[in-house]
Amino acid sequence: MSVYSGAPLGAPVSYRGVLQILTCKSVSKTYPNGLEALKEVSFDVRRGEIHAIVGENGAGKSTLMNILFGMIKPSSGEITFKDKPFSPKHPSEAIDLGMGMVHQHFKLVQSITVAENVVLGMENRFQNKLRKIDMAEVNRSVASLIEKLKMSISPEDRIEGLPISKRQQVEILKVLYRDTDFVILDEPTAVLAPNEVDDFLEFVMGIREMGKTVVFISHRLGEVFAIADRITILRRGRVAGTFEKKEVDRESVANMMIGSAIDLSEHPEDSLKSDVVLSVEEICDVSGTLKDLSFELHEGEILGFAGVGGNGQEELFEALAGNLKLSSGDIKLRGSSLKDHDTFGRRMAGLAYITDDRMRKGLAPDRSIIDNSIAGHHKFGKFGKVAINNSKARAFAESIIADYDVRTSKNGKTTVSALSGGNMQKLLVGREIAFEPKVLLAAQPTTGVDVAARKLIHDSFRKLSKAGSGIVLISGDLEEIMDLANRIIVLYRGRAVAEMSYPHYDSTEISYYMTGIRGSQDVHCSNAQP
Amino acid sequence: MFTARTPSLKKLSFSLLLVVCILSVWALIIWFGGESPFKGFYYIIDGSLGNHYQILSTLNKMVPLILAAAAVAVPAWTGMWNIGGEGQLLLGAFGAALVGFSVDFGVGLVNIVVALIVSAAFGMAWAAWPAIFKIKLKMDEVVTTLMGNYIAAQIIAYLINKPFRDPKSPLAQTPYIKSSFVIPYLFEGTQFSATFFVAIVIVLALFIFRKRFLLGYEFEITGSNSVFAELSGVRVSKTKMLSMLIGGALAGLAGGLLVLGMTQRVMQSFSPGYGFTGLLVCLLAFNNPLLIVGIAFLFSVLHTGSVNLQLFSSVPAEISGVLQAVMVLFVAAFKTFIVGRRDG
Amino acid sequence: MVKMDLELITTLFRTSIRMATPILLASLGGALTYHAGIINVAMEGLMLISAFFSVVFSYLTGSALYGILAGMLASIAISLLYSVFVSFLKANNFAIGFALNILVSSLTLFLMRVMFQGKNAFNSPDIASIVELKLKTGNYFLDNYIFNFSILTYLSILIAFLLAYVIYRTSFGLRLRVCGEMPEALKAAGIKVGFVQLWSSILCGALCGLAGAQLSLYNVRMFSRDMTGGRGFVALAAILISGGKPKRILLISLLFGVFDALSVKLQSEKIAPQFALMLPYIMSVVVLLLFHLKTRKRLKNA
Repeated sequence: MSVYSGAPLGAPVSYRGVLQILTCKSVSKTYPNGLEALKEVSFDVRRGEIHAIVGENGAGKSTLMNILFGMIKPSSGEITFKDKPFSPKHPSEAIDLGMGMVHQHFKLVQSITVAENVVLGMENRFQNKLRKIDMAEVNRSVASLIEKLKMSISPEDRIEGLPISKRQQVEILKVLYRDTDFVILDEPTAVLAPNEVDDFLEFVMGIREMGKTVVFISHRLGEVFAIADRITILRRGRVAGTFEKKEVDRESVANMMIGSAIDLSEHPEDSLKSDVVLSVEEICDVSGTLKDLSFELHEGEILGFAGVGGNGQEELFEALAGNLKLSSGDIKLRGSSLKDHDTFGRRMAGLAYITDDRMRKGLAPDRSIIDNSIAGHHKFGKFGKVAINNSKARAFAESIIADYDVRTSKNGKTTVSALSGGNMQKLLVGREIAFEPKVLLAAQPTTGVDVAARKLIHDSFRKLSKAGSGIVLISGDLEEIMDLANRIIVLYRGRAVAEMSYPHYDSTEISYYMTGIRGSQDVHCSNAQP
Repeated sequence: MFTARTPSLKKLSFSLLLVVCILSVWALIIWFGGESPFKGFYYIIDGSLGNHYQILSTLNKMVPLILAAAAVAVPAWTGMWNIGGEGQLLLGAFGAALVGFSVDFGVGLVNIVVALIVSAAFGMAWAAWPAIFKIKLKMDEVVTTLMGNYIAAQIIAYLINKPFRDPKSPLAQTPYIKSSFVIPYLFEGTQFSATFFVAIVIVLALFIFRKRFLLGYEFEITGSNSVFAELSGVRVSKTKMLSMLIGGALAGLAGGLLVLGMTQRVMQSFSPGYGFTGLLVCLLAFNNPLLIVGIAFLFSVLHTGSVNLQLFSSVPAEISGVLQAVMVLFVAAFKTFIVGRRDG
Repeated sequence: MVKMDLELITTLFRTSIRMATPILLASLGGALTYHAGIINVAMEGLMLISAFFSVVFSYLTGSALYGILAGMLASIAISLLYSVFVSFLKANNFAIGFALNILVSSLTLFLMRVMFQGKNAFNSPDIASIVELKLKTGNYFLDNYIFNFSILTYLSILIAFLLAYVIYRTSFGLRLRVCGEMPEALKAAGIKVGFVQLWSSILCGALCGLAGAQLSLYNVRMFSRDMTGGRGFVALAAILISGGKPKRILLISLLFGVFDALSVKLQSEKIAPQFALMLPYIMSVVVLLLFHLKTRKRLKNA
């Protein structure tokens, strides 16, 4: 019994029923902690179109998608899917009706194979009388779909060995393996390098040619305008509008997303000084990822590290922060070695850290804003030596809240988990910059953050570098790096394969280095001129 | 942007429902034991709070519970699970008894303080090895502290049977402590001693520590998110270790106070499960020092009251354990509705 | 001389097997919940309540079979309670586990006093014990090393192999393992995580029920206060050491059975009885320690 619809790629599927395949009427969602994530959201999706949903984080995109897929329940409102009332209590109901979702955070099981992940949930169709799974049949069935979609993975690959872009292919496989005709893609290009994005967008258009309806969530307007038929803009839980692509342009959509004209073209400040504040000398870490990496960071400089995730960015951050031991090489802050200092010691020496995982490493979500704000600072005696000076602590937290526009209902006492992603990040950034560090290590500082918060964070970086600090900026967002960095180093397989200085930036060039098309044969790194 | 939280009225009604549920099941159990629920409740309350003798006795029974619960709570603040209170308590008791029958410093207060310090030290030592295993080797401390209880029980059984056995007694127990070590009952005819105030002072100290001291703050953020705490400069391993040591010390102290204030020696069946009851108290109190006192009071009422219940009816005193466990289960069940949970 | 040594070894072996059986059964049950993502600390209570009801019903009906069934049902009931609290109400696993253990400990004592006016133990010649696979072939080895053990012993070995098959080759097993490793993937695939855990709990209850029955209807023939004596946690140690793999559990349980048997043997020697009684618990810690040291070494050399 074939579980794939069997239609060859490109064959149109006849339309049945009303033009709208999905309608949402006044859908609202208020979380138990009081956060109103969605307010009376109404829009519709037409059969066979690519419908983009854009918005800042905190706008409600994730909440909306989770409601559609049955992961959470709306507080009020009506949804109609394929002409019938739709209120799934569990993803199984959404899946049964032909809905599929490719999540932003992959839900793949590491220890089992591609095929096992794909058929999970339907694997009992491959059982014999003794309930034993016929793996050969499973692999065959998955392999045929892989071939149809022209993907380059094998059903027997284990997830733990696959790079991120291939894992995404597995996620897509999971969705298309079932009789899905409504596909939701949640920020799918977040993990891709620039030249991979074009292929992916073509792939999405191919899915539309197959007759499927696609809902495409993104905040990268370039992609949206490349493939979407219609665009719905979410802003702070409400629908700001739904438009045909020809009715709008990038600037006006951005305008509607945040409510004021933004400047899409920023450029790096020039506050470079000649003194070297951080010197990294041929470091190799114990996990073997970084290979003889060397660079120098100057005072007032923002040094950007570009690269697709998995090429050593995390290791670089952890090595600089002191969490990952070096097997060789040295790190020197203003001439004195940091090698033997642990994370805390490096903080005392003048480093600050913006980690890429705010929920797990940057903050303690179930504690208050005050508790989170004073973390680290408390070691410097700012709030007392043994006992806590509560009024000083509160004042400190409140100054961060004010300076970084952290939106909260009860000031310092609010639990951090009640904040939206963007506000959490602003809090984190504010706290770290408050250390007035000599060097700020920032990893993915604006992931999951709305446009206004992003601008605020970028401005705070510029301000910090103007004051003389150096910033190491590690980011998968090339636009961000190009907006901020005075110099860009491209990381590939743990090596610095290219280096460029502003204004000689070329994103296509950079993406070639990022994907190893250029520069990967070089053994020696640093200062490879483009 | 943010609306009001879950209305307090809803919370209140759930809390009331919780109390009603607990009382109903209790009534059922008492009835099954062979007594009318109303009479049963009466005997329990009367037996524990009926006159000032009994109230004092009830208060006194709280002491080991409070400390045993604190022994679980403090490690819990840093995310460690100390289930070894039972064993730590036993060893602490032995430590106090050892000092009590072996040496004498002349001054009663000095004697008592030294004995208590030793009891805390013994308890601390017994919490140290599971802590080290967890921190250095990532061995789950639940299993090791638990095993520690059974091992400690046997160690104590051996010690009171052979090397430290009281030659003057036919029973297996340590010699009695010298009279200057005894913490006396304060009022004639009642079982209430200064140990109660010691326990209260300790709990208050813990409360203040947690709220007002930087180290207490570090404990809490370690328990909340240890990776974050490490990045914020907290020495997580040291903090977790310290919390376990404090926990062990508290349990050991509980044992020491029991010896000095009540039994004056270590004998068979020294602890009727104070360690595990303390765990339940701590769970109900959500690791909060002040709540621990309240819950310990409640448990003590049930315990003392049940003894009275057995005297006046056919219901066995063991019912107290059942009542306590039922309460814990209901609270755990209702917690999600009262405190609220993440949607998902 | 030789014969005496042989007797000794045979006794030790038989005792080991007898002691190992409840641990094996409980560990197999716990392994299922382990794969589903639950560290089961309630096995102690599950075994104890089964031990109690097995004795009671065996006494009342005169049949060990009814006793076993009653024990299993009781165990499953508590297991269901555990599952509801942990899987559906999302209460804390350890908290509920220990609360249930204390509940069962108090409850069995309470019930025993109410029903039998007994002290700390209930003993009666009317308690029917579990049958053995009685066979007298005349061959010493066969008679003492293969046959004439409790039928639950044979059943437990069978179940071990059965579970090895189920966990790693069937659809249920796949879902079980995914449930423990990444429940979100299961949910996204349209499967209800809570129900997978529920089923694992029910099966665990059944197996722990068998374990408890073996304890009170075969190993001894009575119920006494807290007679499980920490075996539920020894089973937990076995599960953690073996990573939930049934065949490994078989070996580890046998090992623990040997320790248990040695402790019984040593009690009759000059060594103080307490050291012997300590042995299983110390050994659990030591084995876990060795296991963790080995893992740490392996990671270091990686």
